[in-house]
Amino acid sequence: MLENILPNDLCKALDQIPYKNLCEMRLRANDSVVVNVLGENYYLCNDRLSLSSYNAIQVSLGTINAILQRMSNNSIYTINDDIINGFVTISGGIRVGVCGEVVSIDGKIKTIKNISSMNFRFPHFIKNCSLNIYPYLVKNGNVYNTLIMSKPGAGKTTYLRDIVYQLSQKEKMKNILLIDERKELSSIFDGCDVINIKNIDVYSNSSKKFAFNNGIRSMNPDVIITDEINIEKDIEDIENAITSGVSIIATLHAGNIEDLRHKPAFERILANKLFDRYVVLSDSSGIGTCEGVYNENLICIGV
Amino acid sequence: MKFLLIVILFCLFICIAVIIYKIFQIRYHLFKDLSYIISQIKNDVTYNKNTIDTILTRVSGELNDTTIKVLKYNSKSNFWSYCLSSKERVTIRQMFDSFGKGDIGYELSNLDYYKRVIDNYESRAKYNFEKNAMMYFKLIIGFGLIFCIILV
Repeated sequence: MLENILPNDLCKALDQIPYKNLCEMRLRANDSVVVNVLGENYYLCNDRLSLSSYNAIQVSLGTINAILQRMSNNSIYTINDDIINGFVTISGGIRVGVCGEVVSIDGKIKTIKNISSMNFRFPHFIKNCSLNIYPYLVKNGNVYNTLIMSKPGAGKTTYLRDIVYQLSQKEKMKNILLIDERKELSSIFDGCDVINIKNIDVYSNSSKKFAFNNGIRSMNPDVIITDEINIEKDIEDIENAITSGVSIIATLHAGNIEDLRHKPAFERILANKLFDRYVVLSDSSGIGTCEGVYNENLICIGV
Repeated sequence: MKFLLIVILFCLFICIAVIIYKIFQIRYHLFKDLSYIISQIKNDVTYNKNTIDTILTRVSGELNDTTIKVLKYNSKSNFWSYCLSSKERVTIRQMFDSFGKGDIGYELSNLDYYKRVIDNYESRAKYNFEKNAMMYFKLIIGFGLIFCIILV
């Protein structure tokens, strides 16, 4: 998947790690490559993973720039908007976060130059991983408005990807609209679906506002599924969708219910009972540990 | 034997005339195709934001075979590269190298710049092809014919 993007030595070193265990890879200019395997960080050496940086593979600024060029197929303008947003999604739904020198003109960010750090996040499609919470989300064909939350890297997107798969298999008569803002849920590239999800309409690489407004009008969805909502920014669109009779399943960055309470817009969500289910995930017993499923009154109804 | 040699010599003149005619023709087609490539890239970049690779792959089916050969061997010394002056070769190489290096605004102004340069080359190549190619062709054939008659 990455052989057309990464240098050979890096590719060969990565090959020694089973993909299902690989969570992240971090490249920093003139520094050692760090990989996150099953939640633990290691230095990446040619023949092994190590806790010491001795003999670890290093990358230069030039290598990072060459990787960026290859990620864009030598067409930076195709990914410049993504670079401004801080990440680029490449084939297979791999999300590459980028860090560097921000270029602003008249207060507007034009690009990020001299990119010195990259963080590759490898998506996983774990079939049936969401079955433990699925009965709480869907009952007699009724899909509850659900908010899945966890801290970053604890398995929200993997869960959501499986929920999309489960719904596509079990609720075939429902119109399901997937808003895949970062192209990492359905992994649709060049019009082809990598994970092979059927019965789903996908807005790929689209802003949530556009997809919510146009999707409800044009696709008549029964369920809208979207990743990583910004509760302050997206609340009006979510409210509008729910009051239009559309069910919403979304994810959010929040470590637990208490974190959620501290978010300014949460009062409105709770008062209006926008969501029927809150699912809290963590990595306490491995990535994707379900800490609890809560109802609209934040009473725990299952673990 | 002498007659045979004269025939071979005349054929040689014809070959030279055809090659010179072809060079004029290739230059005209090449710059016309390059201008077309730039227009296509500009349209695609503005509307679809496809990658340069994708656009070139799509466009390549509509180009002359000779254009593809000249572009392919642009960096090497061979017959195809001799169709162009060294300045033209460098310009074409720099043009392709400059694609895909910035945001949309940069790409569009870069494409506009190279469109002007290539259109200028194209109009000169067209003028030379229409005015000079056939004249050189006839001159060389005529010269070959006279030369052969003298030999006879």
